[in-house]
Amino acid sequence: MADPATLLPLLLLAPALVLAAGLAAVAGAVTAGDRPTAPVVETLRLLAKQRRRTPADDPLLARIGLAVLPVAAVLALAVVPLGLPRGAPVGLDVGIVWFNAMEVLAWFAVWTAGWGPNAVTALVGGYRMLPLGLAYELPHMLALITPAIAAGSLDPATVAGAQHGLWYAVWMPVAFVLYLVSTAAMAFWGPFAAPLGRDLAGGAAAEHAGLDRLLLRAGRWMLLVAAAAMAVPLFLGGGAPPPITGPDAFGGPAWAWVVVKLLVVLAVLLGLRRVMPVLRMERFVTLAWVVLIPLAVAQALVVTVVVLL
Amino acid sequence: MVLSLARPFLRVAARRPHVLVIAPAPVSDGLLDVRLAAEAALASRGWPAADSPADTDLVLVAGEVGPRLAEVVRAVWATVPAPRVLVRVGAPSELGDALDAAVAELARGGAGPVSGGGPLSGGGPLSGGGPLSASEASLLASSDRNAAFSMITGSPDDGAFLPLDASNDASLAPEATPVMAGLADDDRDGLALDVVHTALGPVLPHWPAGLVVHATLAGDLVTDARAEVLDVPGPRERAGRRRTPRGPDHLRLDALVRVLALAGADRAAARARALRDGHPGPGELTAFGRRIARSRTLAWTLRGIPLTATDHVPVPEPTVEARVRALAAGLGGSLAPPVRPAPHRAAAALVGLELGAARLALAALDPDTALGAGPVAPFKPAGSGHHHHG
Repeated sequence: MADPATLLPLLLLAPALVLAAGLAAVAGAVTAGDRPTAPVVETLRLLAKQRRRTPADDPLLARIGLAVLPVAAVLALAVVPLGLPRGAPVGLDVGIVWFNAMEVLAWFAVWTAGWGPNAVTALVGGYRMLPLGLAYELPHMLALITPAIAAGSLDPATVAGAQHGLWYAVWMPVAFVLYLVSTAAMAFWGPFAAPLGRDLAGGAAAEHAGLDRLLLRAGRWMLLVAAAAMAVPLFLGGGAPPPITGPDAFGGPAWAWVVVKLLVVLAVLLGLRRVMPVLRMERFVTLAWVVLIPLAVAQALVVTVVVLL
Repeated sequence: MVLSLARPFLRVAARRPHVLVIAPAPVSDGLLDVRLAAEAALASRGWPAADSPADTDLVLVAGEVGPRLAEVVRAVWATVPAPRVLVRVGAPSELGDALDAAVAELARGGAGPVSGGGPLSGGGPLSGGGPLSASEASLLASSDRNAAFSMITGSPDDGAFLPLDASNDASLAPEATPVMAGLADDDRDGLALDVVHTALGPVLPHWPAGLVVHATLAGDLVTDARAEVLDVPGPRERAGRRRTPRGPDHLRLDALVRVLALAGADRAAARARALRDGHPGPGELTAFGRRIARSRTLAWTLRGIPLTATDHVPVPEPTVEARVRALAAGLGGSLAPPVRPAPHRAAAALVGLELGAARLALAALDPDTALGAGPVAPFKPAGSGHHHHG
């Protein structure tokens, strides 16, 4: 790791993710019918805004949670092969497990951000992360593990390389759709934004102002982009051009294909927000355990049986 | 100096302030006019509604407030982080000038409560954003006191602006310390959660104007709820059929705006608001109503919330889903106006619901706060005396 050439992508990872999250936020503002400049104005507004505390709060705990969110997003992205010449910024042969572990830190972040201020609506917002996690995490883990079963590896780069000819998005469409849905839920974003719900005056974010609020908002977009990026190696063939066009019809560098595919995944996620209202947790938990988890298990089973045969 | 670095930020940020509208119960048509005009003005300027006091740049008091609501305004204002501005508007015609003046003030830095150090400072009197003290909570009428509207920006000058009451009931502020009192009597899920006595409203997004629900929560479950309309004791009898120039579709759309916004159907909520504030043709209303009544995703997410109070059935529809469908399907038709329950009946219907479901139920019930309710003595834990905030 002492080689500067390997360290460089790692150092650039955080600014790149911040930039990508900012662009995603701009696209999100446009889809929501807002001005494209809204995220920039919001960021400056929150930077100029005073931070704030509430009586008998636990600011240390809340701020640890808020700071963990963007850090977890960067650490999750670190194992995603982005089509760079040397592979993922951190090549890890259990990258998928690491990725999932970093994502789960969002539970901690939202829970402590809601718990810290010692206020009712914030606390209830924090509570909501638990049913959300119970609902999305099992389909999410099964959707992560299904491509790994097919490729016989927990290394995302190996999974991407195993999809010559047939992308896993086509071969295991249920797992792909479940991955997209659970990605939005993991980033408590869009239809799954109940922990920050407007009905709770902002939920876990209700009592945070200024930089604290910015960390939560930005961290959420960073988490969404990082998880969307993982869909590229797992389901969309990584940096390879689409197999439909023939072997060399569209060449181009691998990173460019990763970017194009990431944009497609993000567009699908943003479209989800347009068609769905925010789901109440009791409805989503029911949906997850009655429909999504059985589907995910069936998909994993089918893939396993085919691989064993 | 950090403050000088923040200056250009302030100017940019003032282009899109988050606005917290605080409106009294619409006991007269004039008060309703001010609230509706304020909401329409904010939408036309593209300014988002603030979720909570922490998210607020501009507190907009829409209409004449009574002493109880004035206490709430003071308590809320005390917790709004700088830069911040408070404006009070008495009539729709004052709105444009008031909002322009407020934004100009915000761009100058909104004269927050901090005397030393700028809004970005980490080491000032509010180092790390400490709780605001009672003295910082006091208000100042700005120098242009003769203007049609009043504007407040921050430094202490007691009582120049709002009617004051000796008892500062800070428990009505949404961020007040929750009062824990032992375990729930009605422990439905066996989790042995602490009971929280709290006041929901009157400063919550898409909440009926002037209403406070004194609620007991076990976790996120409402186990008791009593309504109070600030400055409007009740319940009053409906004085005949009140004639409003707006008609039944306006009532339906006003309720739908709240339900749709709380359900996170943002585009539908914006459309409902535009129809409410504009002059839509019956065809537009019918088309919108049909679209909402037929929306499967909306019906799916609203499913399973009952509207049955323990002592009385407040509205003809048994569930939130049916109520929303009836409100939407009635648009553009010639049906009678929707039944609007008295606040205390609406509050009774919230008992047993999860907080999010209770919010949707209350929005769908759309209680007529002009009928008044309460007053309700706030919960005091045995033996701990008066709770003070800050």
